Parts: sequence; structure tokens; C-alpha cells
Amino acid sequence: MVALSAGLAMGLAAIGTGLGIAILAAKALESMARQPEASDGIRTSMIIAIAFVEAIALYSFVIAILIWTKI
Amino acid sequence: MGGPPGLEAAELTNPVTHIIAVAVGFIRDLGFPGKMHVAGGYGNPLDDPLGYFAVKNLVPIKIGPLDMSITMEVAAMFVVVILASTLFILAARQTEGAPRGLRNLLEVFMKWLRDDIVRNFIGKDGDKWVPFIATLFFFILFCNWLGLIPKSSTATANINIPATLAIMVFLLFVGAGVVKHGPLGYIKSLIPHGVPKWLIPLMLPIELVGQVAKPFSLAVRLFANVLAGHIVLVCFLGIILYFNSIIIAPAPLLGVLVMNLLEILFGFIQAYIFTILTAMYIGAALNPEH
Repeated sequence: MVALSAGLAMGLAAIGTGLGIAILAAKALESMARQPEASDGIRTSMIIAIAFVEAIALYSFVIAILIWTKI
Repeated sequence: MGGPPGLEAAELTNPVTHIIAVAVGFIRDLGFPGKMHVAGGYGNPLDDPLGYFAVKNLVPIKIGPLDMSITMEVAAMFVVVILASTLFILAARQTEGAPRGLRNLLEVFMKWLRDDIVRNFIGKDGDKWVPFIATLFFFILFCNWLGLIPKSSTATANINIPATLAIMVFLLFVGAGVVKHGPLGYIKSLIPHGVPKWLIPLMLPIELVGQVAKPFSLAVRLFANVLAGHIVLVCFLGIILYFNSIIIAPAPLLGVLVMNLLEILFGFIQAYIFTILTAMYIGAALNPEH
């Protein structure tokens, strides 16, 4: 039961994170292709936004670790 | 780890026979007999995966009720401080002529921190924030990178250290806003412009919770990213122990190599994200852009 809940917690969070980062990267690549001279700014903003989205998946990773070590 | 099984000491009269016997036994078993002993005293990663991340006390120091022991994380932070100060003091000594060598490298970083991070978000008169932002950036960067050395411990992989940094950043940006606008002015600056008056009692708790959530997200983002990288490394090494054979060993080792390189990249990215978010929050507190 513990293993199931820990696995579900991280797995469900990974769905949203994967979708979010995919949409973000797709839009960033498209805009970099439209205007190559703005590439640097777009790349920087993309990395910052990816860190935001990934942080949400990592909140549930912390919950999964807490469930697994039975706190 | 005994010798090859099934061979008595009396049969090994010839050194060549001995070598051939060992080789044959090795290939026949394709592994080490019995479980491997994990050095370092952490316990087997198969039974106790998170034991690697337990706090290891080096020098127990108790001052009254406070536990100020020197643990591995504290020692790692000492090393980071010594390393960073040595680098920067050596670079600052070079005062004549054009910058070259170490000073040139560090000046590239300082210019990048000042222009792209501080001046972008805090504005032109943000120059007095550059030393703090630079210290924060290099502290997190060196803490993350020094954790990749085999016997050392990652200071940021313990929740306490990113939490301390996040609390410090929270007090700083709330303090900067309060000093500049006054306590009521700071709370007023949280509410966006052009919001109808009857909506303010609904917006205010949301904005306050948002402000309190900022240091939480900073701390958990940094801590979880670094910890996840190290857990993946320990799990890869655990695969070798699980199969207990030397034929399977190169694949997890390749994985460990790739994860180490990824951890170097991620250490830099997490330090950069923490620093840029700090600059954004300080800038938003000083100049609410409405």
C-alpha cells in the first residue's frame, strides 16, 4: 500500500510535468525559429520556466519520499 | 571475497596453475561469491537506500541545549567557504594591467551577475545588491558541485541548508519592501492596480499566501533537485549490487557517468534559478511594477 501510494504520487505528477515542459519547449523552439536573433533571451526564459514546472513535480517527489520512509 | 571455490590449497603447487585456476573460477562464477561489503559504513543500498543521506557526525559539540556538532554537511560548507574566498581573494590581488587568467574568468561571472541578473530585475541602482547575489550564487554552485566528489557530502541535499537560505531571502525581500514603502505601503503594493475596492479583501489573503509560498518553493526546488540527482546515482550503484555480477556492471557505470555530468549541469542551473528568483523577488518588492 505504501509502495503503491508513493509510486502513484510521483507518477501522476510526472504526467503533468512532462506535458508542461513539452508545451513550453515546443513554443520556445517555434519562437526561436521565427526570430533567431532573440534566441538568447528566449532560451534563458525557457530554462527559468522549466525550473518552475519541474519544481511542482519535485514537491510530489518529496511527498513520495515522506510516504516511503513512513513519516 | 574468498578465492575460487572448489580448489584446495594443496593443488595449487604451480603459480601458472594457480593463475589459470583463479581465471577459470572467475569466469565460471562471473561474479564475486557472497554479497559485496559496501565501504563507508552506510549500510547496503539495497536494504537501506536513504542511509547514504543520513547526517554523519564528525565532531560532536553541544552548547547547552543546542547541538552544534560538526557534521559532514558543516565540513562541506567550511570547504566551500574556504574555496570560494581563496578563489576570489587570489583574483582580487591582480590589480595592475588588463585582467588575465583567474581574474578574467571571475570578472566574466561578475559582469553576467551584475548585468543580466541584478540590473535586469532590480534596476540601475541595484548595484549594492550585487555582492549578496554573487555570494548566494557561488555558495549554492560550489555546494552542489562539491557534493559530486566521491567521499564528500552535498550541503544542499539536506533540507536545512536551502531552508535557511530561503528564510534569509524571504526576510531580505520583505525587509527591503518594508524599508522602502513602510509596512502598510508594502502590503498595499501587493495588490495589483485597477482592482475594484470590494475585491481587495479577497485578494489580500491570496497575495499574502503567495508571498509566504515564495521561500517554500525556493527551498524545496533547490533541495529536491539536488537530492533527486543523488538518489538516482545511489540507485544506479545499487543495480550493480542487486545483480551481483561483473558482466552487468558496465551498464550502470555508464548510467552513473551520465548522471554525474547531468548533476554538474543541474547544479549550475539550480544555483542560477535560485539567484534569479531572489533578484526577481527583491525587484518586485522594491519596484512593484504596476
